[in-house]
Amino acid sequence: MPDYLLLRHRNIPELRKLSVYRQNGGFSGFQTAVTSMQPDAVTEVVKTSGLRGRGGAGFPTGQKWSFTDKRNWPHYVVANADESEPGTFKDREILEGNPFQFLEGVAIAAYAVQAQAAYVYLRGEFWQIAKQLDRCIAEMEEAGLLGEHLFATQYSLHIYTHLGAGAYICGEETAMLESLEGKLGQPRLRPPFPPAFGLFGKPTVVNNVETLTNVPLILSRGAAWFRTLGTEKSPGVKIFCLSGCVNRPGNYELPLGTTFRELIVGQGGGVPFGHKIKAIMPAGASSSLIVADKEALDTPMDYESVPKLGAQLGSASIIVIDDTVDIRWLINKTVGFFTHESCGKCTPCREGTYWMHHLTQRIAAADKEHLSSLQPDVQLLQAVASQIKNKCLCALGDFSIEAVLSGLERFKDDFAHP
Amino acid sequence: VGETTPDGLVTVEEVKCLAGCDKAPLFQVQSGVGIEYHENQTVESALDFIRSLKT
Repeated sequence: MPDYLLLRHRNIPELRKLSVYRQNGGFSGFQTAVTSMQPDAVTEVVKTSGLRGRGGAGFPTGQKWSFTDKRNWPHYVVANADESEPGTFKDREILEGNPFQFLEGVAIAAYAVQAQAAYVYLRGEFWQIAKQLDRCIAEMEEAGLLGEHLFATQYSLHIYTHLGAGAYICGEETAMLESLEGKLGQPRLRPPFPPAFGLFGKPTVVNNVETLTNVPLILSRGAAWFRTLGTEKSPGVKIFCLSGCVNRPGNYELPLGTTFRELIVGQGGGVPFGHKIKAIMPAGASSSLIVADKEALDTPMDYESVPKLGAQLGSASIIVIDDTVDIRWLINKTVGFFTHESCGKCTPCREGTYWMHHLTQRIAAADKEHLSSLQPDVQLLQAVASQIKNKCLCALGDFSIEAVLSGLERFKDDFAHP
Repeated sequence: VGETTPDGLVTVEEVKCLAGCDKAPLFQVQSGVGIEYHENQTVESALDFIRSLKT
């Protein structure tokens, strides 16, 4: 069995218990930070490690922390546990199996930016996980790992959980902050970004669950150790969520820079029933479709290499599409999802996804023989999709067209009569 | 899908994303008791579950 870093509960079965987590070095990083390191020094270690945000954007984590405005107090940390990208299920496994490593990461991030309150925002479906986290937080308070004057210093910290109500948009950081404030979950205009104007208008660090779960190990084992994993520009390991037409779907923790082939064929056992792989969606429903040719399969999965294929690594939710799948059906599914989840604030996204869905429903329902009569619809779909691009406050609108435009461009045969 | 059984006991809706793509097919049951998840299902196991509700 590999030596897991984030999915350590696969090596250590009872890791979800505080006593077992502490026996395995748990909270030594947090204690060292609070008792013997300046907050900025903690940020500096994370910066040096090269850790990049695992939620999708891949922004350098330490840099994000260092942007926190020191002229404006208090500061907050918000952990994004609103995992709701179709195809993503990694944070759930971390929260269920290794909750204390995640909470220690939250605590270290909070110390680094001197926040005395941190919030964990969970998607509504995670209500059982939220209950479990509440118990973990209570245990930490009893053990003196959370609360007032931690380790006999001046530093105090409380962590709270907050459940969303099932809206995809609340995974977008500014919509999440609005929702946490008790408002309608809709994105804000950026800039200002959360490190300047975040929760309740105060400087706020928003990080993904997986990102924060890396932090305790960076503190206890060092930035130099972290850099030995992964690639130079994308250090560390990543949890790849493998699903779709594949023999062994699941979470795979592998170094960044592992190839698609190694994940899909080597680890995932390839495509079932002897079918051929046709396309890959590397970032869930928000991804461009990659033509699964030899070059693509041999591409390393990191933040630099995947864009060369005209896609993004995102949250690394690898959905495998085989040759039985019609791309018309697929884009109708993704567009349907985004139409349902568009929050309605920006007109191009609200109206655009609605009209795209009308078109994709017609296009998907057509017989293969009648596709030529649908060419005006296909052209209109292309036009509507192109007009959503870069015209919205958040990325949802842009995400809704990724599969559509790349599908139309790269899988022409599925849209045209041969 | 989208319909309710004549006895009003079960309504089936299609949803996207229950955070378990690796455990598909799956369904969520919302009842007076609460919300529960049934993962790695087959048509047969889903039908068995519905039959168990009726007894």
